[in-house]
Amino acid sequence: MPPSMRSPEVAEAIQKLVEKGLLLPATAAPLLRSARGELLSIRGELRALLYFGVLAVVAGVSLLVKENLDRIGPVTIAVAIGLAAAACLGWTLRRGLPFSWQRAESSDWAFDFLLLLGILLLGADLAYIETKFTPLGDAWSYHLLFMSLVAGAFAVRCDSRTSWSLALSTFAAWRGVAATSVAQGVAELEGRRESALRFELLLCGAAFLALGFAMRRFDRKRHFEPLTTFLGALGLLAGLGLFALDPQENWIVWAIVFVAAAAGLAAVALRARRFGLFALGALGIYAGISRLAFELIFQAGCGCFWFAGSSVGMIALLWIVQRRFRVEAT
Amino acid sequence: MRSEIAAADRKFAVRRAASAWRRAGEIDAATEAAIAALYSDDRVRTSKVFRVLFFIFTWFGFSTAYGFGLAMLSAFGLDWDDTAIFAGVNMLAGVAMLAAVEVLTGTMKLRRFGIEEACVWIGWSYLLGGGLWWMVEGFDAGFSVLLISGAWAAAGLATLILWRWATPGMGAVAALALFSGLSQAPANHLVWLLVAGLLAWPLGTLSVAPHVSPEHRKRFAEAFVVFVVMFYFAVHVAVIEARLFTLARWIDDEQLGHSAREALAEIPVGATAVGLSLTAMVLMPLVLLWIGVRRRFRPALVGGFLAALVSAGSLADRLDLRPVWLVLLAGGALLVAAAMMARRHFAGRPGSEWKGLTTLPLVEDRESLQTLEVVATLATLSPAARQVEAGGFEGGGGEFGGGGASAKF
Repeated sequence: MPPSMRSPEVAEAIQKLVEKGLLLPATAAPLLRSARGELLSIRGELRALLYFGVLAVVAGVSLLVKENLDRIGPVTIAVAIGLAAAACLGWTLRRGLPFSWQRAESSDWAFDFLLLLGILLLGADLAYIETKFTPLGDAWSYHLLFMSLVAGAFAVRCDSRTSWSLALSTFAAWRGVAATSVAQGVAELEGRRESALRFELLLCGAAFLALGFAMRRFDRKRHFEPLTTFLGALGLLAGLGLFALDPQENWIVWAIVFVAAAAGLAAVALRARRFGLFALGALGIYAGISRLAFELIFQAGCGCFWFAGSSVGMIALLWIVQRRFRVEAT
Repeated sequence: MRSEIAAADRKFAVRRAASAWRRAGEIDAATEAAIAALYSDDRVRTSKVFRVLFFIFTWFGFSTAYGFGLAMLSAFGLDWDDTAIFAGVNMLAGVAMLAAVEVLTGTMKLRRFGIEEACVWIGWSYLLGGGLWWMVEGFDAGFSVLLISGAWAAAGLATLILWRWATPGMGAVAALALFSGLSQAPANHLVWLLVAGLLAWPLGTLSVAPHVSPEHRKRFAEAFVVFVVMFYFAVHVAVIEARLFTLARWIDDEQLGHSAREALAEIPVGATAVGLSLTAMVLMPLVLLWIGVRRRFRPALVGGFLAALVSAGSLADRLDLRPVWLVLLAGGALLVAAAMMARRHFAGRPGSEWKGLTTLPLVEDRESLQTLEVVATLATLSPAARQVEAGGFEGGGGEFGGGGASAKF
C-alpha cells in the first residue's frame, strides 16, 4: 500500500494557492503535510481509548459496590472510591486553565475524560454513601440534584462541554426524564390518563431553554448554550408531543400548541442559522400537522395520499428555505 | 461516474478543506471566499442537516406514494396476488428510481443533496426486492438459492451504483453482499479468508489512490473496512468453535442445520484450529495497528484498535476471568494508563509528533467530534431516570450512580 495520500486534490491545490499568494508558505507547510498524508492526527482515537477506559472503570466500580457491599466494608469502599475521584478531580483542577466565563478549554486531550471520570466516581461514591448510610432519608433522590449541580460547577470551572451534558442529563434524571422514560411514555399512551412524565419533560425543557437564553443574554459560557438549548427544545417538544399523541387528552389543543412551538423553534433557529435546531423544529411541524391531518383524512382512507403529498410539500419547502438562506454545503 | 462529477467533487474537497482551515484559524474568511471562488463547481449541494431531511422525506414520500399508487392500480383491475405483476411493478419502480437518479445528478446536477441518494437506495431495494419476491413466489426457490442469487444480485447492483454515482454506503453493501454469497460457496471458509485477506490490500490502496475520485475513495475505504471485519470474523475462535461456516451450508435445512449441529457436536474442533484462531486473533489487531502507524492509514488504525478490544474481551470470556468487576476495573485502568502513556510519549516530542502521527488537532472538524463525544456521553454515562408516577414522585428504592453509573440495589 502506498503512503496514505489523504487528499491529493487538496495537496495539489495548496501548491497553487501558495503560488497565487492566497496561502503563506509557512501556513501551507503543515496543511500540505496533512493533505499528503505525511502527518495524521490521532487525537480522536486516543480520546476514544480514554472514553472506553472511563466506561469500563465506571462499570467496574458499579459492580464492585453492588457485589461486595458487605464483604469489603462500607467505609473502605466509600473511602477508596472517594480517593480515586479526588485524584482525578485534583489532577484536572491543577491542570485546568484559570477560570473564565468565556471559552477556556484545556488543550490537553486527556483533560475532559479524566474530569468526567472524577465526576462519575464522585457520583458513585455519594450514591453509595446515600444507600448505605441514608443521610438524606426519604429525600434520597436529591443526591441526583446535588450531583447535577456538582457536575455543572466542574463543567463551568473547567470549561468542559462533555461534563456539562452530564450535568444536564443528571438534572433530567432527577426529574425522572431520560430517553428510556420517554419511550415508556409513548408505550403507555393508551393506558394512562394522566402522566407526570409529560409535565416533567415540559419543566426540564423550559428550564434548559431558560438557562440557554440566560447564557446567551449575559454572555456566560455562551458556547454551552447550543447544547443546552437543543436539549431544552427536545424536552419541550417531546412533552408536547406526548400530550398531542394521547387520544384521551384534549389532543387537538395540544397538537396545535405542539405545531406552534415547533414552528416558533424552526423560525428562530433559521434566523440564527442553527440548522440542527431547525431540523428538530421542521420534523416537529411535520409530525404535528400530520397528527391533526391524520385524524381527519385517515378516516376517509386518504392516509397514503396525505403522507405522499405532504412529503413532497416538505421537500419543496426545505428546498426553498435552503436556497433562501444560502445554506453552505458541508 | 461522469468526469464532470468527479472534477466537481475534487473542487468541493478543496473548498471543504478551506472551510476547515478557516474554522481552525489558519486562514481568514476573505481567503476562504477567494479559494471558494477559485474552486467553485456547478453541482447543487446542501448542508448535512438538510441532506438528512431531504433523504428522510424523499424515502418516506416515495414509500407512501407507492402504497397509494398500488391501491390506485388495484382499482384499475391489477391483481396483486399475481406474483409476476407484483414483482414486475416493484422492479419497474426500482428501475424508474434509478433512471430518476440519472436525471437528478445529470440535468439537475444534484450532488450530496439527499434526494438523489434516497432515490438510489429506493431503486436498489425495490429492484432487488421485486426480483427476490418473484423468485420466492414464482419459482418456489429454496433459501440457499435465494441467498446466493440475492447476494450476488445485491453485490452486482451495488457495484454498478458505486461505479456510476459512488453513493455513500454502497461500498459497504457491495462488500457485505459479496461475503453473503461466498458463505454458500464450496470450501466457504477458505474462500472467505482468501477473498478477504487478498482483496483488502488493493481496496486499501484504492482508498488512497490519487487517480481515484474523492467519493470513490471513500467507498473503497468502506469496502476495505468490511473486508477486514469479515477476515476477523472468519478467524474468530467463537466462529471456529461454533462451526458457523459448516452450518452455513445447511441453511436450507428447515431446522437451520439442527441435525448437522447435532452431528458436529460429536466431533470436537481440532486443537490446531483453535490455536491458529487464537493466534490470529492476537496477531490481526497488531498487524492492523502496525499498518495504520506505518502508513498513517486511519481505517487500519481504528480497525486495529477495535479488533484489539474485541480480542481482549473474547479472551477474557474464554479464560472465564472472574470477578467481572475486577476485569472491568483492570481493563479500564489499562486503557486509561495506555492513553496517559501515549499522552506523555507525544508531549515530550517536538510538534507532539511521532512517526508522522500527532496528538495536535490539526484542521479536523472539532465541532463534529465534540458533538459525537457529547452524544456518546449522554447515551452511555447518563444516570437512569427515577420512576415518575402520576401525581408526583414516589421513592422507588436506592439507585446507585448519581453521576452516570446506574446499577440498582
